[in-house]
Amino acid sequence: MGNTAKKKIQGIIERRRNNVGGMYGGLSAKDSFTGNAKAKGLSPLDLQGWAKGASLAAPFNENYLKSREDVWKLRAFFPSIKDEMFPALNNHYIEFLFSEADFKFYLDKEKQFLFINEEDNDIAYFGKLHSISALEALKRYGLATLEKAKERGRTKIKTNE
Amino acid sequence: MSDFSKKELEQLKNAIRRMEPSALPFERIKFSRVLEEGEADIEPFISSFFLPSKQDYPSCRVPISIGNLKEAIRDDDKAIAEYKYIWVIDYDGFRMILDKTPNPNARRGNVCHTNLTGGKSALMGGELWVDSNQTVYINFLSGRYGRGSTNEQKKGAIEYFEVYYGSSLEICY
Repeated sequence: MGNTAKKKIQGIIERRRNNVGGMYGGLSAKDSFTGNAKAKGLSPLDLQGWAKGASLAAPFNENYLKSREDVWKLRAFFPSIKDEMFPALNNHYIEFLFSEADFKFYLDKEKQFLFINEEDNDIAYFGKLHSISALEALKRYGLATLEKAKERGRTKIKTNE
Repeated sequence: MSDFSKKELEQLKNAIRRMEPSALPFERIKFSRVLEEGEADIEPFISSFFLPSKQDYPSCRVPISIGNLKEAIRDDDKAIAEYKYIWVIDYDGFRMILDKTPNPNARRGNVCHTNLTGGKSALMGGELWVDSNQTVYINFLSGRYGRGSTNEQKKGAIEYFEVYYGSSLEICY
């Protein structure tokens, strides 16, 4: 990635942190998530431009979003995401959103189940849970699994970890 | 509701008090999540709702051959997916629908808990199975209404179900 692209991304991140406009019009991933602020000033073109600049290779072979039809799974966590943004919603950008999110996930000791929160019943039945960041959960299990966990509260993780 | 005795109706009222306050979708887990298109539709599914009366079991039963149903429920075993009902309790009562019921207007493709409420608030929600011995298995796995509930609210839901199904009720996690 060239210096210009790097500077552009850093500038966007800085503006987002300082709430002075730019991508999402200064709406942080946290705000987007909690719905306490409304996204404004963001056009799909802004996002495409940003994504084009962010030419970092996605760390996974598989895309979090297979098609525009999957965008709702991302919107389950970030309500201001629109279907029209799809072409720009690459892995790098999605990971960026999750890295700024203020929510996390929980795993049981055997890492067989993924939880969206920790409740007394879980501890009684599954033992003490430990938390993992939203980004780590995304990278390990993918967006579809996280959405399923959110829909039910818990999901079995199909992994041999 | 005429098949409930006065005492049972009191139990139901008490159970409702224990489950209060009712919550909007995802409110209990403090997630602000928009309801997607089709997720709050209720009209197309009303004819598929099952509104039980006392000791009234839905018709789709898990066959005995499945084995340990509690384990299968815990593991979200695909073999029992087609027998799964989703349920809610709100001030209009208790109702359920087969989870696999198609919802062509929603991206997820099938119904969800808010299709039982029209996106309105509910006291509790979860999943339900009935085996061929008429044992009812419930959990509180609903990100929309069940998750984030207190132990007292869960106990209220169990008390509510016990009025309907008595000792043929199994609580799952």
